[in-house]
Amino acid sequence: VTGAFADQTGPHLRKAREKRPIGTLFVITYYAGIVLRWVAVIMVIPALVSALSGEWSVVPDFLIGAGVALVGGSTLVLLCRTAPSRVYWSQGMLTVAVSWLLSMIVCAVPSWLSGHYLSFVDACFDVMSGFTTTGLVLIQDLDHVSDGLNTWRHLLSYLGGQGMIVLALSFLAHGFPGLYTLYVGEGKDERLLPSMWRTARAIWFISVVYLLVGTGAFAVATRQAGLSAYRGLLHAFWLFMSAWSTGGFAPQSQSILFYHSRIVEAVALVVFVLGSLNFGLHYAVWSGNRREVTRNLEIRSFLVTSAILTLISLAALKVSGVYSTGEVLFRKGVFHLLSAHTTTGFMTIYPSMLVVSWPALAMFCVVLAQLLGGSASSTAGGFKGVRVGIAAKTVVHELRRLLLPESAVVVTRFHFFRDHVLGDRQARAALLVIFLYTVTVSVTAVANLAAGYPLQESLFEAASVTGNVGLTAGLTSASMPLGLKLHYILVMWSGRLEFMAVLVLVGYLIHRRRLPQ
Amino acid sequence: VPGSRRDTLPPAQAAKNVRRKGTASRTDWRRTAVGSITGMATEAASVILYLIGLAVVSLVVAHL
Repeated sequence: VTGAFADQTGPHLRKAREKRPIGTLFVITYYAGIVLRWVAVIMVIPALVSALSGEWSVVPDFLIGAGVALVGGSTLVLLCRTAPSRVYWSQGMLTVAVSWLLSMIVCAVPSWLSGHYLSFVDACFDVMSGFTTTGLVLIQDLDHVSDGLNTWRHLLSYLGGQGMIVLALSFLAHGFPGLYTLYVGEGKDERLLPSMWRTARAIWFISVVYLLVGTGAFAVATRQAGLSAYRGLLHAFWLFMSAWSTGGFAPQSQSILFYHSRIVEAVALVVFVLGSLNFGLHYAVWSGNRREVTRNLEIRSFLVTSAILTLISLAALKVSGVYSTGEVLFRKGVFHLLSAHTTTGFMTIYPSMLVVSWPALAMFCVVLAQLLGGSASSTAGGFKGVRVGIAAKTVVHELRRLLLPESAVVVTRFHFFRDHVLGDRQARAALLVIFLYTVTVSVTAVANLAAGYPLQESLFEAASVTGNVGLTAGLTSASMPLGLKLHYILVMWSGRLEFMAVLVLVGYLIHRRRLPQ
Repeated sequence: VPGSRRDTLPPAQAAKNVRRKGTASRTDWRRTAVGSITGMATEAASVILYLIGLAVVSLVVAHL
């Protein structure tokens, strides 16, 4: 068979068919369906906690939610019937972007049924805030929320931090093609082991071991703070999930301030700093490579930026006379700076105090820390330490190139799990994401200003929502305009997925027939 | 591979190898457990040291 006829029946046409938008829709639908089924399974956990706490009126909320997720997921899978044989990069990115949106809607069902939200959009806002480990909330009467709903909120944060889609597909669709594309789509790119399934299993193992140890530490701390054994254990479970995922959700409206406990604050600090570290670093240290802690570019970048910002903000707080003793400076100043830098969002002061009492310089340091963020391939948001490190190295590299003779060969090296030579591609990728974050913060700040909020609070909240931090200057509330709520949902979503998956989705919607591979 | 040691192993030796394989698996688990504990201790100690450093900085700033 030769000529045009060969082209119509051969592998070229099959490949072309796979690239067509209908093929992409098929892939998205199939895997989004699997993710929704997984969501249904997860809803059993808060239902069980509700049953254990004797909250029988709450259990149906989760059963209804699980039913919706199961029916929706199974329908999507049945529409496709068979698993796709291949997943392209763009299809993986699209699957992540769409799965997060669909999961948000389904996961909001039990939250909305609880009656703690003024509208379904508010429930979606909180779910997206949990998934993206942001921590901003629109929930009403948080201090009287059921144990089941509190478990659900913190569980969303915990699962979102680990990489929801990859975990779901690792365990429910073992051996499916293109898992790595979803891993990257969810903002993680450090492959710990050759197989993605084993990488997901390693991440899960590290998180569960820390869950057991961290919950124990929090349980001791909350017991010491005066909670009963059962309440203390529940609070410990919730606080660990929130701190480890750098989420910032708390079971009480006063966040960590509620406990008035040095030990709770100390445990929270240790856990959320650990949670903001790269899973690759955890794996390296657990495998015996302890030198990675001191050599890793990301750790060095975090140490330098957090130390400088802490020093400036402490000096500003001391000079302004807000806090005078060393202990209070640490418990308020250092705690908030690190809470911002690790993109956690726990607070030990009231949001209004940030605006009223804190000097502008200290607030600016917190805004910068929110943008810099934690580590890549971790639960944290923001620019990420490795990109900040690469950007700094690029500046030094260019300066050296300008200062040295033209014939000199300038080589800049850095260590990030292995030795790298700084190249144009790495510098471009890091600077592109930093640029996209900066643009998004600016657009969000403009949106806040347009809604009538003051400049300082607008900038603070814009950095918080874009960096998936969760600290608030008081802007985020159920009374904010609907358009701004929707804008925040989009920003949290795109910030968490590091823009690429969202940009691919926008490109797909605009140029359906020219899908990039 | 024909003629190799594996190809010519007597059944008793093969059974012993299976038992050794089980022992290796247990060794892997032990190694994983020890690695997890020492890894966690290393990470926690590093973070606590860093926090102590920041606490000292706070005390110094408070007394300036």
